[in-house]
Amino acid sequence: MTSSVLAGSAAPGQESCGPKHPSPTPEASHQAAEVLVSNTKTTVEFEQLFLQHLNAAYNLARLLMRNTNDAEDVVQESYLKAWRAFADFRGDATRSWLLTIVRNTSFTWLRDNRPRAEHFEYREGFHESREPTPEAESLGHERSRAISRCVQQLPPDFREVIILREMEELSYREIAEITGVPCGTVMSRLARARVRLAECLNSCAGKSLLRQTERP
Amino acid sequence: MTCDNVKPLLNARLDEEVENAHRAALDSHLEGCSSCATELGRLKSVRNAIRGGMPYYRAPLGLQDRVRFALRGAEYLDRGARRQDWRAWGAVAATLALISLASVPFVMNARNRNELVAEDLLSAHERALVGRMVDVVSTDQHTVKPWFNGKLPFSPPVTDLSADGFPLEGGRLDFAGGHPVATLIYGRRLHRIDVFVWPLAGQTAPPAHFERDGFNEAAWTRNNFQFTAVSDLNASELKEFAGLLQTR
Repeated sequence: MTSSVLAGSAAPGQESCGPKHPSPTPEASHQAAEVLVSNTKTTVEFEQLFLQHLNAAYNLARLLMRNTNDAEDVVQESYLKAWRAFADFRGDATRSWLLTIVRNTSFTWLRDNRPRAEHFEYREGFHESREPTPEAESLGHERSRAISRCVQQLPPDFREVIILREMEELSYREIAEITGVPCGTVMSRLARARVRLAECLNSCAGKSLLRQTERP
Repeated sequence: MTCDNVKPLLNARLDEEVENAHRAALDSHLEGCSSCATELGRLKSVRNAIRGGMPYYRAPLGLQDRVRFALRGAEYLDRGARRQDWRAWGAVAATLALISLASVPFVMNARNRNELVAEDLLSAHERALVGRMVDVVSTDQHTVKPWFNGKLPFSPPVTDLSADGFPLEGGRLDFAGGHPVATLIYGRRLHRIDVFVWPLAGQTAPPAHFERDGFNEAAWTRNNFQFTAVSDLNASELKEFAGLLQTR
């Protein structure tokens, strides 16, 4: 019953939550293509739609790449890819669409450009020394740094679902579309990520960062 | 519901991803089961720690400008590429036209087009006289020609005429008719001659000389390039200059 109880599941046993809207028929997409030919989308229009998501794009890239320079390169490359694919973009989920590209570009970079990046254990001071985040600095907290460290220690598959769920507050369906896995997998990754986070947060600097009295 | 089928759904319950139809049953189990309720509380505290304490990395200053810069550059280069595609088809079409209409004075088309562009060229020349004259200052054709590499979707021919009294002074980028053109700058005493060059596949036209707004102009085609020289130099010397460029 696990997957069929998930909101958005169409039928018991169907693992994916499926697309929110039915996929366009070949005829429909052909018509849409014709419309686009006569209604060329401009770079200005692209910027109006997508530059508002620059922080979300950077935050995801920064937490996946775990360093500033790579994150900036990934963001720039992602925007260029999005711009080139803009003619095929449908709908209004601009943030999810952009984050999909940022996510895929990040993983491609990690695989091709930085084959060893993920083999390094995350060390505080090594990755963060170049760029203390204004938020972390202003809060001034070990607490914030420790939480950040726990998130960044997660394997990338777990890290991305935590970022998309807790920082971007996206639904399982949206996360499934971005990461290209079924909703059930999103949920199981979130579950395992939270177990790891609980362990990490519980053992930070000898004191727990979790409040144990929390009740549902 | 039992703990065995509630526990796998605790994350979904936390994330509000459980269907309404199942929520009541799930919640009533949680009411009576301290083990499941504690587990959900633990998940909730993890979520609250992350949501409350995880720093959000905002885009560094300058990243937006960098992205916009990259987009504009890509837009410019893509346009150049599309233009070249278009130009290739234009060459095919022009060749066919030459074969079938060899006796027709097709030159008219080129001349009309030149008229459309002429005003852009003249104002580019006038602007240069007032202010920005040269982007790359060099009397060496082997310095000027490579300077255009990467700035234009074509490589303009650059000829030095200093031995003939028209020293090359440098190069510049201009726009005419909505596309980039290479501008070669030559000197003659105190006069400047701007030679605008852009590709014109498959079309040829006889050399033309005329006057426009007090400036003398010479236009010709050679090796699939259109050349237009604009200067305040007198007409006969400009004609001599144009003749040199047409044969070197």
